[in-house]
Amino acid sequence: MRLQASLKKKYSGFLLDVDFTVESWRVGVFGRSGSGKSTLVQLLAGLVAPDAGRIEIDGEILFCSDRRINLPPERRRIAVVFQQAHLFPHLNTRSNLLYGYRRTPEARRRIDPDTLIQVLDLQELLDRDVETLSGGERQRVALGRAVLTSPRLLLMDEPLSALDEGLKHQIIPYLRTVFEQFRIPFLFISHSMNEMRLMTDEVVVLHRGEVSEQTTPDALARQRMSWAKSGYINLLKLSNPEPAGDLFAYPFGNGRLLMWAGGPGESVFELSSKDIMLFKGRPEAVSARNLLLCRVGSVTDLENRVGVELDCGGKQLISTVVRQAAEELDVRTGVEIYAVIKASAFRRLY
Amino acid sequence: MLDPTTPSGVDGPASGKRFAAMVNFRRLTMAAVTAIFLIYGGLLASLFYYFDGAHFLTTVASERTLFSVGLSMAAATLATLAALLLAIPAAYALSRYDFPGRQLVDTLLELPLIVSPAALGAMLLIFFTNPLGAWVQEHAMQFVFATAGVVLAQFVTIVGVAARFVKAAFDEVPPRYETAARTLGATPSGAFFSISLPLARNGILAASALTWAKAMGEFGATITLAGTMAMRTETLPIAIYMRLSTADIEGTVGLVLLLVGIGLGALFAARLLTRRRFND
Repeated sequence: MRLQASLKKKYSGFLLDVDFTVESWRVGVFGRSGSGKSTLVQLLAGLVAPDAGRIEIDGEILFCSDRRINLPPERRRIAVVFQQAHLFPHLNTRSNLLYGYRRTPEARRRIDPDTLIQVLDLQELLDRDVETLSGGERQRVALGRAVLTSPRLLLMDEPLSALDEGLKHQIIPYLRTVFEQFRIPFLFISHSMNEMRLMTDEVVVLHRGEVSEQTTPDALARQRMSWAKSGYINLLKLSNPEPAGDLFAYPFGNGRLLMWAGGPGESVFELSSKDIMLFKGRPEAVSARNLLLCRVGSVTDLENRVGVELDCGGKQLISTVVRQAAEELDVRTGVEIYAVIKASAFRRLY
Repeated sequence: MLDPTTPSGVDGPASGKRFAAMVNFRRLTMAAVTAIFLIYGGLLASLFYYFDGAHFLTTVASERTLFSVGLSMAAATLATLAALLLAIPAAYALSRYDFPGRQLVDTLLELPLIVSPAALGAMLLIFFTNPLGAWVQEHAMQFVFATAGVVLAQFVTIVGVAARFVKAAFDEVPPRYETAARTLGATPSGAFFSISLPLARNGILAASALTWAKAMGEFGATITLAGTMAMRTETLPIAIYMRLSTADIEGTVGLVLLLVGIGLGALFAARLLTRRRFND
């Protein structure tokens, strides 16, 4: 998928002026509220006409002010999942799901409704009135409804932000499976760094209506650790735990990590850089359950703290410590250091 | 908790007074409700002073009355259908699109409400005396002092109001559903027929019932344009007027009750069509 967009749209008091090209299948659009993310979605989907510019997807021009081309939304083959599900209240779940599918020419349908219904776990909901669905169920139906139009690009405008924390992380695996299985390129719009890192490979950062940079989600997260109060969030994708007493033991690098929560198959855990303590020598006995011998990679100055990149048996972790501690421990690139992490510090996202 | 700087007595009576004021206000508004009920209820009840069962039956069952009822209902139905045919698309445009002259049209919709029906009928009559109107009369259809004039008079009276009511129904349907439909491949007309129209259905049905009842009761424009010919242009309201002018009180009472019954039945049907709520 190759999307080229060069767009200008002026509202009173706000100007969106962006120019970018993305080629990955999993693209994020990141920015604070008011940065122009939702305007961008409306322009790309054809719901609002830009003042000037050009949109091209895989060689087809969807909009071009110079050549007076402006395809209506129904001919762009760009589906949208909005922040709210916008399920049609007079149709049941099944009719909602098939609304776009029925309007897609047969030759272009490449996703089988039954398979999708299984992937999204919607069998039980099909005959339900959409008013009776929970927030997470509604969003799954909205996703399925959009995917069934076999779009060449799916826009997701903060699809998770109306859901509470726990629910969000229940939906993410569904999203990932759907996109992997059906190979649908998407633009994931969000102001959540975690969602960017869990969902995307490439990020377009919007700031006050302009593209301030185009980078990878991890690079972006590292950049932002200097001003994020919570430090840097290490995201660990781990699988196949073994029971270890009350805890779960996950293989990690050449060792293992012990933690409270766990489950079969693959899980993603969040670990704040502030929850990784550093020791110069091997501590004799600690209450924390995880003791890893790591080598210090890069060291970044963050005002009154220091970000320390650790290589622990081939796996990367980032710890943040206050400056005095870093000086006392003599944290430099290349030295060996012990990282200590409590089993309770890991938060399982899904 | 007592604040020592505030005299302890002040707070109690003050809030007590406020409470009393609230109760009185509630009573006052309820009294207004009662007054309205008594005005209409009293008027209806007073009809029964002259109600005569046998006379009622002979009046209602008379050929002339049955014709009036039939004409009124048929004309009201035709006028309502014609009005909706125009009002639904117009109301949708007024609800969804911004165009020059929108405010003007929106205001004109209420013309029949602010102009006396007699004036509206006079306007129609005058229209048919000008060259274009005369041409229509000669080559298309006879409206003046003709049965078709009844339908036209009712249509002109209700079409604006119908558009106003239907617009309210569309205004209640959030445009986000149409937006979602468009991104799922629906054309503008496709989204209208599959989303907006079904979602506004209850409102449109209620609007239809109200419009129909209003057409049933139309008098001024009808009598001005179509006249009072028994068995030709005499609608139920006109029949009431004619009956009253011959001082047949019992007969008038019978016809009024009939018209009230039909009208209230239609409004009750409209009330039964509950309003759909939108959550998301």
